[in-house]
Amino acid sequence: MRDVSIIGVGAHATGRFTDKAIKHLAYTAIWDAIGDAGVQLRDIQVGYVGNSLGGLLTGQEGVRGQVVMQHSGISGIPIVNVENACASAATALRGAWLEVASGAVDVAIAVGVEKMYVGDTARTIGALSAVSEIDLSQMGMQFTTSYAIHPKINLKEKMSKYGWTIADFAKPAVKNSFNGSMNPLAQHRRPLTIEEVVQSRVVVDPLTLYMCASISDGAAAAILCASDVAARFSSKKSIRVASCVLRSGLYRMPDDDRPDSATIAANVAYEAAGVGPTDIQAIELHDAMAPAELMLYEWLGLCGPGEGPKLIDDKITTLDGRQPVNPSGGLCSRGHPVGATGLLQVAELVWQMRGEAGPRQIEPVPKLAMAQNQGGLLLGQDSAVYAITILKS
Amino acid sequence: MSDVTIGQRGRLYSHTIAHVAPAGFKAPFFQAFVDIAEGPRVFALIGAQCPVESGVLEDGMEMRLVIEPLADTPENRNTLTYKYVPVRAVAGGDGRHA
Repeated sequence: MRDVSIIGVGAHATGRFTDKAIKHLAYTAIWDAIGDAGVQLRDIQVGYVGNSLGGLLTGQEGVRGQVVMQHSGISGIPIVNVENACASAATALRGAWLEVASGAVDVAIAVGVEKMYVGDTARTIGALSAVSEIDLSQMGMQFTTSYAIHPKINLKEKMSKYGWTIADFAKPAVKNSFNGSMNPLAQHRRPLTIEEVVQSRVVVDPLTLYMCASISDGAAAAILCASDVAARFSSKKSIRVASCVLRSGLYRMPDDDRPDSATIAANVAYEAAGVGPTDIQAIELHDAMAPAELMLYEWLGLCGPGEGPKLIDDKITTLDGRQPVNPSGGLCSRGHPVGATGLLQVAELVWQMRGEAGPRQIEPVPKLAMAQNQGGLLLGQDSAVYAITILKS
Repeated sequence: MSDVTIGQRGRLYSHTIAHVAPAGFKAPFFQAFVDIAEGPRVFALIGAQCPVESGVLEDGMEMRLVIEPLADTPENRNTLTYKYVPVRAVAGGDGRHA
């Protein structure tokens, strides 16, 4: 396999854009990435387009990738449609990475796009539920529920076992809202306090409104290139893909004592990149509900069992900490247009690693960064998709 | 091949009260995971005899199977599904649909 670099990224802001279809959202991200990379349209040899809900929400069940790309002027080349729930964009990135790493092409584009505001919240919630195994969604299962009582998370158990409080669950949302307040692309830019998060209305006990990522429109794109020819296009700092790992969830019985599937994916990624969890200097992770960030600290190997809130209290994962997490604002503040999220994470890390992140820039500029993205829920208890990308400069 | 009956009894693993509901369901409603006696852990709704209030259910409780309409809504009133209720009498329960 060849070394692969990300030479350009772009993103459309997240939020509510009632006048835009998925192709309009993607256009901004695609052309920002092309401009950033310094490539010409004719240089792009293959495209992977991640989108999750467009079939149900826009009616465009098939060929969304070709629709989106043709609107941006990209046609003729192979275009692959990727649906992998909330990890669609990370999966698209992996497809593009494999194309370049294998030597099949020199330059590839990965795009993630989602349009969730369609003027009918119940329809959006219904579509979101349908990216879990349908037997669960037909029973009224929602992602919010899974993030409260899912066997791996089970927040009430964490309260009794670790002494975690509702205020602890709010801490990632408060930290990330501060980061997001400095991100011009972010959907929610008001810094929140612990009190505001705790006192916002209960959605699924014990999760409150401000602990939950909201409905969002958005898009992101990345241009990948064989590292040995990257200098031909771009004079910017080359960001190498050190590892790009995709796994699916396991079927778990109640006595299952295997590690969390995020841990399994991360360990594969750490080994492939030749690094350990505490080496990582910037992390974007999948905090679809704020307390999940506390669990992910454990699962990614950043701390021991129950120590999640301490990483925020001790300012390890804050923007000025040793391992800043979700400098973009994460899913709750930056936004979670589900099929775009994995590439929004990667775009943020590329900006951070180039020192281009403006007022939310991590200092010193990180040289090793990681994105963690996951999605879907299966009857076998795990999420459906787990993705980890490690970047080196 | 022969039919085997499973899931008559179980133990409540975790539960919550959801204050938002997808189309076809009414909030607030209980959502839970139940470890059925034969081994697997299943996602389940809670029978209508349980008032939807905190303190009614306790993780670890013995549960028994009931077959009920999926939800008391026009969309789901005629769809039957499995649900669980505590084996012992529920405090405050009056048998009405919550």
